[in-house]
Amino acid sequence: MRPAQIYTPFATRVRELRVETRDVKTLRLEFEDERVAATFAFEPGQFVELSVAGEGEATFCLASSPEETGYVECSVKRVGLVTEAIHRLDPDALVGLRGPYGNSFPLQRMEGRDLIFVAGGIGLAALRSLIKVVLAERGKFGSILILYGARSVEDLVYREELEQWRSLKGLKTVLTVDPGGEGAGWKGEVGFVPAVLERLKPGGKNSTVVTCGPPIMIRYVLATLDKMGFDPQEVITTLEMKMKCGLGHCGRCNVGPLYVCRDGPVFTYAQIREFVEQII
Amino acid sequence: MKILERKALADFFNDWLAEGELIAPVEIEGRLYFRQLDEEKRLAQLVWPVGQPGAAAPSGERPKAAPADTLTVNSIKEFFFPRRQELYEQRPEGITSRVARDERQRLLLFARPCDTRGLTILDRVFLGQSEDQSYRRARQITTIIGLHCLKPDRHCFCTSLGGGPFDTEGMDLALTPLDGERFVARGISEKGKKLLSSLSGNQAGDGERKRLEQLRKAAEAAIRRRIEVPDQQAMAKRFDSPYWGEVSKTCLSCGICSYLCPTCHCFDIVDEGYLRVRCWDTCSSDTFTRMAAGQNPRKHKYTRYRQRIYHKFSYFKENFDTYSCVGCGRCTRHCPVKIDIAEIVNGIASTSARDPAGKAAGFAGAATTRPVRAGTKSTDNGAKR
Repeated sequence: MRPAQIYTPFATRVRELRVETRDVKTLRLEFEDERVAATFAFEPGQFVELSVAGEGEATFCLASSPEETGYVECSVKRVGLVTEAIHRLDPDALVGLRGPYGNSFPLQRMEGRDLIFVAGGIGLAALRSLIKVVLAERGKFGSILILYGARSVEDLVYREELEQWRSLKGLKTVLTVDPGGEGAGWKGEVGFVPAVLERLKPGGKNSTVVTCGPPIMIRYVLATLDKMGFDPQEVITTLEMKMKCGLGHCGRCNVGPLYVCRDGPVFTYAQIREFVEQII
Repeated sequence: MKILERKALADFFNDWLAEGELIAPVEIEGRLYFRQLDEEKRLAQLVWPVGQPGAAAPSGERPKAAPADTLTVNSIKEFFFPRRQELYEQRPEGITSRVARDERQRLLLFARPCDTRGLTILDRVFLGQSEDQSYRRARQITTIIGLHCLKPDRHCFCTSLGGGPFDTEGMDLALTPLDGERFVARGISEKGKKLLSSLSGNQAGDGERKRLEQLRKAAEAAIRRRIEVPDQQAMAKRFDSPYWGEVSKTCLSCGICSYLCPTCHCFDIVDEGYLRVRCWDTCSSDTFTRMAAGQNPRKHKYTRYRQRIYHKFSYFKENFDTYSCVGCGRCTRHCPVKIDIAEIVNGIASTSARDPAGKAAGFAGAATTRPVRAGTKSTDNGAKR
């Protein structure tokens, strides 16, 4: 079900606003119109435009699994006007939602392969949807490594899920925090994500890497993967750039001949190698 | 092909005004602008094309010298892609669409070939993937009567980009002024042909056809300016050139080039109270790509100017098989610091090429040895804002 006009959002209501960290909250939204709720579908990797009355509209990846129906979740880091407004929303407040937009992770192509997820900070939100789908169909994939890092222990998001993933068999979850962010009693790794990745030396010919995080992290993760000899076709990332329309019209996420919103946000490293310096 | 008297056209325009709207060039402080004609002043505001090269305006009509033969300051794009457009209202209680749907039929008069061609370029963006319904609606309700150019000026370079002063692309009906009183009219689209058959006038004779051909040749010959766009590979090789720092040095990032451009389509979506509004934007602004957390992939002015040129002459070509430039010359004519797009594009080929192989190697080397972009440190006054 599509709205009558491309920019008119669906009305959703805040069902939950979970505190993840000091500056990240996870927003659970339910569609007001039952017909929309019944037909709204997306793929892991896609994004939406969320809007708050009088505050504005901003871009967020869908962090819930497409198989969880009746609601969607986005994790929101407080950095600007709209995210600040979202953090202050009351239960049941109205939020506009346009989308889903963009392409998605190539799940089919990933089947039968060993998967390496490399995430930093709020970047895990973009991979959470995918990880959930992969874990729901665990048998279709080879070995799985999740490497997740944050500035400090307090900045790790999705604590419960991280614990759950750590307890699962046939899945390796490595957590790391930046030097100085460990605090007392920290049992995980200490070091920047690219450095830990290099230490772990994961993968082989049958591996696909999916990475998302702050630009500086993606930059060094890609460089590290290059150095480790990963095939750029099998290195997948999801990019962020300022977006307004989400439809490839407004021009701001244009880089090279690509529009991050329309041709991405999911790209293989091979696809963006030439332009990636202009984004991150 | 018909010969239409000015009087017959004026009658038709007047009839049209009874039911619909008229958009036409009007004179404001000595310059021409496309405006919707005022209900009361009606045709009195309309600036008729003068016609013959060098001919004076019909006496008694416009006492002061009006630039009837010049290009309007604004292009026709704002009547399809408005400067500001209310999208919807979002209140804490609910969301209501604000896109107007009951618009009256519009007649757009005397649109120049560069502008109508520009519209066909905008079509590729707004009517392609994810069709913009309000743009589609504006296209549907508008009939375009084009006007050929007899006196292109020194900034015009449409003939280098597939257009021409007698081009008809994007027009419904095309007019060529023979003198102050008569026009040669040709129906271009089905809509235009139907319209022409309803207008009274004689069929054009051999003399008039010959005259038309003479005028066309003279107009084309009057365009001295050329633009030569390097091929895509040559463009790619100059991406990291210090050239971009040099040519954008004086740019004020004011955005007038984007706003007056018939093909620039970038926009912003902003809140005005509870209204969500779409308004024009420009890639020359440093807020265009600056994200909430502060990082900006195009924080240097030269990267933004370069984006404008590459978007028009490389990326758009790759995506839509045409340049997003029609050679109207408005950006040059109105630039406060006289940045000349044709000169800049023509200069690309003679700057030294850098093989993008270095970039293709990805971050393996780049993470530690970022290419130094000479000429940017001293010239970039936008970076530290």
